[in-house]
Amino acid sequence: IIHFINMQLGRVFPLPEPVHVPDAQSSDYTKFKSKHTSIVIDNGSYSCRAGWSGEASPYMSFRGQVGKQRSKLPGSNETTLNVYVGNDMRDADLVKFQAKGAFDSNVVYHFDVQESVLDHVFSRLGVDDSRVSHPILMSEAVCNPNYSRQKMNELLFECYSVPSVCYGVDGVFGLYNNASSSSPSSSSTSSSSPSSLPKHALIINSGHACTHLLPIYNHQFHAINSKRLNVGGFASSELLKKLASLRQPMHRAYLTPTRTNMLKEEHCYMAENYMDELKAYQLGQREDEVHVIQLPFTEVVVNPKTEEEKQKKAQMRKEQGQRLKEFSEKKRREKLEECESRLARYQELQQDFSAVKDARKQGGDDDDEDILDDEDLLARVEAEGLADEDELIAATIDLEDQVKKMKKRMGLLTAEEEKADEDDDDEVHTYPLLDIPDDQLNDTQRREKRKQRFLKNMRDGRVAQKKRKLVDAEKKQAAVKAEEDKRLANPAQYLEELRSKRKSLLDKRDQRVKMKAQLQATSSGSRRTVDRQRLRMLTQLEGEAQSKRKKVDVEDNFGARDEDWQVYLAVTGDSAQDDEDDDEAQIIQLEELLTKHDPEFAAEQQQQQQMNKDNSNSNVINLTNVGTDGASSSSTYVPTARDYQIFLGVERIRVPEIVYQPPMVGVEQMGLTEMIMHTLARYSKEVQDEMSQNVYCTGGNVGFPGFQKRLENELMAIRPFQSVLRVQVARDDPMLDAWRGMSKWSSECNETFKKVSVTRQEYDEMGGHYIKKYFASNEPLPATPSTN
Amino acid sequence: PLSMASKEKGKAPAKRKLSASKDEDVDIMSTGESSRPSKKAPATAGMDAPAPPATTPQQQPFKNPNYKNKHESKKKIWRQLKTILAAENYSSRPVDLPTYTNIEAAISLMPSKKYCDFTGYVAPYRDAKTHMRYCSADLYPIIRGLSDEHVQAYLAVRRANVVLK
Repeated sequence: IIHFINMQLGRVFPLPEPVHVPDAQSSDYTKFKSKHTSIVIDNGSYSCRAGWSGEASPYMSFRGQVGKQRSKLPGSNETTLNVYVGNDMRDADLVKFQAKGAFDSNVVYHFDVQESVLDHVFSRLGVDDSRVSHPILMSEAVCNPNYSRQKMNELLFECYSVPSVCYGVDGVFGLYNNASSSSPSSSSTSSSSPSSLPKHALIINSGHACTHLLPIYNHQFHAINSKRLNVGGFASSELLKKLASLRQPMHRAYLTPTRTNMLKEEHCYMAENYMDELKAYQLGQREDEVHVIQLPFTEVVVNPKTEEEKQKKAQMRKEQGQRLKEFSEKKRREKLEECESRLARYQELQQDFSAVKDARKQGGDDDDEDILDDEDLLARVEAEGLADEDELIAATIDLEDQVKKMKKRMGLLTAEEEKADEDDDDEVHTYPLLDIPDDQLNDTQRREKRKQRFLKNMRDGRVAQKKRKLVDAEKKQAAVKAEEDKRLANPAQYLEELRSKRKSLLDKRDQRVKMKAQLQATSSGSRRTVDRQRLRMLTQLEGEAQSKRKKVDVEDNFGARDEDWQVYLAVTGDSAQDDEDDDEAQIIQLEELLTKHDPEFAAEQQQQQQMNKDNSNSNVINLTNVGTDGASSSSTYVPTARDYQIFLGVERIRVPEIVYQPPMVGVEQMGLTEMIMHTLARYSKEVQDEMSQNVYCTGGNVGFPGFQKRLENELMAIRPFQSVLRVQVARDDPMLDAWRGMSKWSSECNETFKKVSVTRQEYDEMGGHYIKKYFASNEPLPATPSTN
Repeated sequence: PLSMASKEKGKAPAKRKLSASKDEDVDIMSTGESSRPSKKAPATAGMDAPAPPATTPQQQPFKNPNYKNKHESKKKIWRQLKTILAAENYSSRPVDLPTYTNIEAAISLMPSKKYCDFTGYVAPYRDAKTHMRYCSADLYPIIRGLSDEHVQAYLAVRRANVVLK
């Protein structure tokens, strides 16, 4: 596998930790209250920025997410609903996982969440009136649907009683922010029209949900020629997460959305020429550009043991062993005592039996039956867990044997007993009473007879068992001898046989593993190859059965023979567990023999092990470990820092590239370059020239290093020879660009702002969709015609 | 390490400690020329690590109480963008007006470049069985050895996976 990253890797970086700083409560509301300063809200699908008009930076900037949680008040039974917005949620909070955003792509659709967001904005800004009596300047999507705007107006006017609302496209305001401050000759301080905006320009606004191309024509936003590409920062983050997770699945857990965003911002860059850069990575020329993210990892230090410590350990182990021995001895002794006491009880019972019998006999009860009337005896017998006298006798004999065995094991037999034991085995045991029929014996003799019967059965069983053991041992010996003979007769052939047998077993095992994997595959039922095979088999069998029936008019007696039931095995294809174990045992046996007799085999095995070790070297990223946890199976493996690292190599340029090549993530749209080409083509040549000299990039997703240079290269490729190009990226933070433009405009061009805002009265008269056109607004559309 | 993958997303990393490895050159990203311009943090109070996170109460003085009663029903299902766009009835409008669907960029006229699903390099080859793209011949046995799930995961990156509904 050639695609591993070797030792000389690039810089090592720590894992980014999300920072959580909740938005502060403003304390200077009174200052703005009297002046009725406008509130400027840049409502974006990633984050929301809000603040007072005229300020240089927004007062608050937070993720547009709302999490709700029910909590019980201490002391009472009520539950309150806690609402956490944006920065109030820590990354590790449970609420964060269920957080909801108000956006679907770049359009607001969830107005409950939007309401919470606005609550948050107004309350932190310090509004304490009974209504929000400040004009609002808010951003909306390019060509925002009427429904969305209507709902937003509803929310602002009817819930917060705002005096007036004005909507604008955020990208255009981004240009306003850059242009008005960069051109010193403009008199933008008190003009009523933003003539500071260049006459013709092209804005590339790459945001979270999508990327827009916004042409400025005659100082106005020309909505009809704008274009939207459904790829933005979100798609880039998703791509990074998927790529990193696929390459190193064991570190998937670390790639939360917030972390992935931070990694993307820190480590990804836009290649100036994608094909060249990609080739450079492939040829290994960018090895020092591979960024290594070090995950938290605690080092396990293994100290080499000194002689003392080794001795101490050995001592401890000996002591432990002794303790164990004593413990087991004690246990055995206890068991023996218990058995002996039980034996004594049984013997007592037997004596009592005979005593009762004799008593009854003497009392004239000449009973040949053994049925117990005496409840006392019956109860005692049952207490021991036996049913009747016969079982008692059998159990007694058993127990005597057991006790003898245990004593022998523990070495507690007295010399006499030992001798008796040995003699026992050699003696010929006679059971004279067994031959005499029952009615000729008296009671005691009958009992004796029963005892002797039991003894005989047990002895016979034991003798048979011994014989069987001998026979098995002999057979084994014979087999081993035969093997040896075979080997000596023709060594080469013997080895060949061993090898081929081993190989076939290994193949069978591999086959089984594959089948198991297929069985566990989660694709839909009827499509699994295993299921299809089964179906095929069943239909085949059915077909055979049918044809057979047609030929011979015989009753269907399938199942009469034993072999018929084997079809189940064939159909299900489930190999019994025993087969597996047998095969495994055989493989081990064969390998032992081979290692003993075949010098080459041993060498091969060594080599194989070495290769395996090399392949799973922690310095190498093994692509076949996809889906498995990468740790080695050996128990002596000590994890190093390398096992806790995420590598970002070619991903660094792949991730931002999707804006230029959307098919990389499956979005079937044209990339940025083509979009620009088509948009420019709609204008006259002069306008095109001016536009290509005024290209502005705003939005969070243009923050990648190298974005500007890349865009210049791309433009150069599509513009005519020797045309002038100028690409500008926002001077300061591209994410705050739009808000700053809005703030600037609403304070500097206050007259215009007031004129183009929609007041409460106008909203009531004209409807929720109504807007007035100005340089940064969408195209006003008539109300949605109702469908017939 | 094996237990990491099975834990919840955000919880596990917060509990582990950072290592103090002695010989590692942990180089914190310096704000050089090539790095992103830093964001200007808005004015904030200090860290509040011990205190519970702030909440935004839903009862605010500046909200119209009548409005809230009107929209009290929790069962309100908000229309997704697709539904909204369908309801806008753009097809019955004059063609020269810009609408949300109008301005969507069209499919590209130029053939897209194919990249390897494994490595990201240019992929001249495609596996007919799994439809995965690969950049060199030694990747072929690996691709063939992948299970169905893995193949679909790789294809899902470029939305070429099979989605059964």
